[in-house]
Amino acid sequence: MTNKPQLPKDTSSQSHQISRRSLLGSVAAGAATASFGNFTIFSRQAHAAEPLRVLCWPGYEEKDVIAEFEDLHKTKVEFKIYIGGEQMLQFFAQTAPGTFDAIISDAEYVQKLKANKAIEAYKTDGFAELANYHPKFRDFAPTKGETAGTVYGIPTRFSFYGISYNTDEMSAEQAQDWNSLLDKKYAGKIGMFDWYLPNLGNASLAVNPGNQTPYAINDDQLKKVKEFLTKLRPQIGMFGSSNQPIAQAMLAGDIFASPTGDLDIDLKLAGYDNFSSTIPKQGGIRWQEVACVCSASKNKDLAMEWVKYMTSPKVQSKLVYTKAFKARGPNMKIVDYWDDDQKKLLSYVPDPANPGKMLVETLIDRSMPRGLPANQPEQAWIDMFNEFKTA
Amino acid sequence: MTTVETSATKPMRTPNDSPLKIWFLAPLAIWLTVFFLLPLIFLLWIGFWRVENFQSVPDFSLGNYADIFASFFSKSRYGLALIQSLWVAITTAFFATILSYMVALSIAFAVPARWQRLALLIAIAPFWSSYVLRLYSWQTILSRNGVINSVLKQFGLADYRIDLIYTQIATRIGLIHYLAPILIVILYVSILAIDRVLIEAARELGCTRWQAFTRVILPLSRFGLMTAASFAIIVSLGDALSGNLLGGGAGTSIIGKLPTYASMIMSDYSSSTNLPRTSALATILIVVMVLALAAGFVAADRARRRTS
Amino acid sequence: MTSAAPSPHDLELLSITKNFDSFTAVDSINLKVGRGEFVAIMGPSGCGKTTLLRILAGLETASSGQLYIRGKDVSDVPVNLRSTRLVWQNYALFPHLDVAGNIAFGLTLKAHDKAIVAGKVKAMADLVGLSDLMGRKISQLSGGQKQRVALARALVTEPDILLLDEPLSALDAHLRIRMQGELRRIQKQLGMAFIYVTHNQVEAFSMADRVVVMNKGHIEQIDAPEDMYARPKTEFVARFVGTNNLFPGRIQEIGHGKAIVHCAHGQVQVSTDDPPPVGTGVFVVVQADKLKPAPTGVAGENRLEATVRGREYAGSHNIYLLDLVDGTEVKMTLPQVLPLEINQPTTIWFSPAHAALIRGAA
Repeated sequence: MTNKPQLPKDTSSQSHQISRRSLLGSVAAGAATASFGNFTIFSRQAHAAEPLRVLCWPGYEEKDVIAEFEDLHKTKVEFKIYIGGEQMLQFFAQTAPGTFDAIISDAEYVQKLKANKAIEAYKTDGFAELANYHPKFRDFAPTKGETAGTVYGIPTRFSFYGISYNTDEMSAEQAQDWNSLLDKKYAGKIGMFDWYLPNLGNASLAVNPGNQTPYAINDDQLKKVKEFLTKLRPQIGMFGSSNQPIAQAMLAGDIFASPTGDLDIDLKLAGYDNFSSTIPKQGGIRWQEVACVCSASKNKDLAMEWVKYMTSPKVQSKLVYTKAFKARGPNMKIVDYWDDDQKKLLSYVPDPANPGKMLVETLIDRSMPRGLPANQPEQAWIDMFNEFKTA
Repeated sequence: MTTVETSATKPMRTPNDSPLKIWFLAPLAIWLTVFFLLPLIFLLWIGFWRVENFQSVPDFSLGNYADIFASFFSKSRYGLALIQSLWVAITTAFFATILSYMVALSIAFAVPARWQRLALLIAIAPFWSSYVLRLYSWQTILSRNGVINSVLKQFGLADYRIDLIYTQIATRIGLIHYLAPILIVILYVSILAIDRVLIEAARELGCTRWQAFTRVILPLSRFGLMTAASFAIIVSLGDALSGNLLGGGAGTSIIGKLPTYASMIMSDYSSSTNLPRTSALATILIVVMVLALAAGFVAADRARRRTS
Repeated sequence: MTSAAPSPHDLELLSITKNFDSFTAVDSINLKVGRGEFVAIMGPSGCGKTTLLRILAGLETASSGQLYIRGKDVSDVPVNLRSTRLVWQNYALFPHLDVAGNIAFGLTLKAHDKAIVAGKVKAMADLVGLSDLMGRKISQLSGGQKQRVALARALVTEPDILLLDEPLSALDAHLRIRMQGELRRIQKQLGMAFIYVTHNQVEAFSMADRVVVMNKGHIEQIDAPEDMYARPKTEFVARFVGTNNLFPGRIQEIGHGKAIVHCAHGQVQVSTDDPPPVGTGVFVVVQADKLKPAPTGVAGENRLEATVRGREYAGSHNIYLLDLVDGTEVKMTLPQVLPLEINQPTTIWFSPAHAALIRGAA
């Protein structure tokens, strides 16, 4: 062991600890329970008080986040936590209709939930806080309803898959360009999150800079993506099944950069200042969670109240800054509830390059939401990623 | 032999003989059914399901297998990953078995009898710590700025820096550390079963110590060695953690920078809604394991027949 | 082998002693074994005979003393370089090798010509009668066959001396007698010295040229079987060997090749060429089969009044247990044709020529 400070390793809260975007390890470990073991989900009859039931990623159930809502509405909110969109779909599919009142879903999974008729669109006119949302989240295309003024979900939490990098090994300027990853001096020094979706999205943007719909590309463009990946392969030193091993590898000097998002946040918090992250000029992928209301819910009014509650800057300021996990909130007023350190850490500070804007706004402008392959089957993209891995 | 008076009457029963004794098999049967057969059958069965609207639908379709085998050496190239897995598993088993055998031998022969239990307990102590924790520790040891390289640097040997992290060598190290305690116990027990008189007899017949080892101890350990090695292969084939954390997901080996098959299954499962396809992938791995186990059984049985 | 003058002895032990912690297992043993001699070492369990054998084999190192084989000091020669071979009590055959493999084992340890080894193995298999079983696994052999393999495995290496540790103890009685004969035949045929450790006196007495009786780590007596039987030299040997009656007493009178001993139950006469001085404490030893019912109506020496207490049927003869007047127990064997009534007084008799004297009674 070195005498440097260690990354926080609080195993007691492992499910939270495992970074929000880190699907694989814990998901597969929990696969057995996920597919066979979740029939224990509470039964409706057992609770006379009819609490609100929410299917969500970790974080939403924390006391700091939900207590005020429970006090205000004199109710109880019960959470079923999932890790990974696939697990969410399974939990939902394996329970009786009406089990859940609301769902926190990754934005791109909204279309899958829609296909299952799991959620329904709702009007946004009562959501005063939307005015404080960043425009890209206020008018969030992927979850728009069929009629004007309705949505299937409102964003509650987001962050980026830009380039995280070691500032001793890579300059801020280099990090502005995806092609820097192809530099010979980074051969074997790039770490990658082992999931096709963000990586192929980023590669799509690298070869089609500024494309607003990186997941809706034609076969020729996809071919270019593959070419980019082929060039990238020798640069990859490791694949991480979650954020933690990638951050660990960054810290150990085994890799210098990773297109995996905000690894620098945890590293900075652990006392290492030689890490940073950004989104290259060609654009990068961003993930976001949205709050949806279940179509079979018998408690829709309360569910709507909860969604409204989740749009408030105060709640978001806590939701995206839990002990185990850091992200960003779409409500720009969130800064009113943070101290300077928090603002700086999460990039809610003026961007010197874009006067009048916060750094986070620049990054939002430059990033595209993570989606699902629109013009090819998912399996084709998965196969391409596997081929890249086994190259 | 003069008291042969057995007639065609029913056989004599001993006082402990009871038709109910068959029920003593029940715990074994229940164990096998609940923890082995049912999950296995379920897994096999789901492998034939299909996916519709992001949900698994019971079916009897060979589509998953057709898909997988179609992309066995193209597209997803599961075949390459399987070859990597076999290579890593076999070499891991080889080294783990040899290493554990040496430890077991030294416990059995170099440690005084009354200290052997303690020595064995110390040798298997790593087993009581978490596997993941051990892998992270190895990461700290093996990485570029890790313990080994820091020490080398301290001694001015920075040029001899080791670059093991994110290679399949690192994967093997993690697996061997995981396997060794179990293999040591298997091998120690099999060495203990060797009659010490045979070793004395060999020495008395003119064997040097080394010859006593190669001519008697080693052949009589063969059954234990085969058992340990096939166990190690099965575990190594099925493990994805070491390959992911130490091997970096697609670690380098002489076969290439390829992920292991188990790691592919894991990432495929988390990337798609496709439980049936993942089950089919897992079934293929199980078939390979069964084949490995069968080969191990045949080898071990042959070894045992030679020694009994 | 050195070029030293050939020793008349195959084996020579000079004050061999073995201490385990505070316990002395073998206490200053001196023994010479002649060329091609068959020596049986006999004694109760724990007498040190097996330890002694292990020292000869090199499996144990003596705490002190010298060991010579054919005149050469081998005290410090390690086990694998000794020119002795041991036949183990439970055979210690190698289960992973077949019969031929076991026999050839010792020959294959050094660089060897396969044909020569095969020839030697074949010859040895013929000698011990295993020719038909060469491909068998050890687990498929009977006890007697295993015994032959063990013997062949040791003999094929052409040792100077063969050591045998209770080699027949695991066989049934019938087979044991047959194997005794075979061992003796093979030993004669090869002219090899055999050191044969056993606790079974029948085996020792029927095969050996000389018998060594050990007790508590030291040697009590070394003699040819018939001498050992007829003239035990110590109380221990007298009690251990055969079925002897011991009468403690004191020399009262000597003369005319006879000694008169005063015992608790009266005076007895013993023929002796070398009588101890008057007053010496002795045991009068009389074998059970040398006691007879006294002829009636005739006065004479060594007549003992006794009462018959019990009878053990032993086929051709009976073994009687009698009490003398002072309560001393006496064993007597008689042919079936001379029955005695139980619980009846009787007079028994022995010839002074059939009695021996042992010094040492208090």
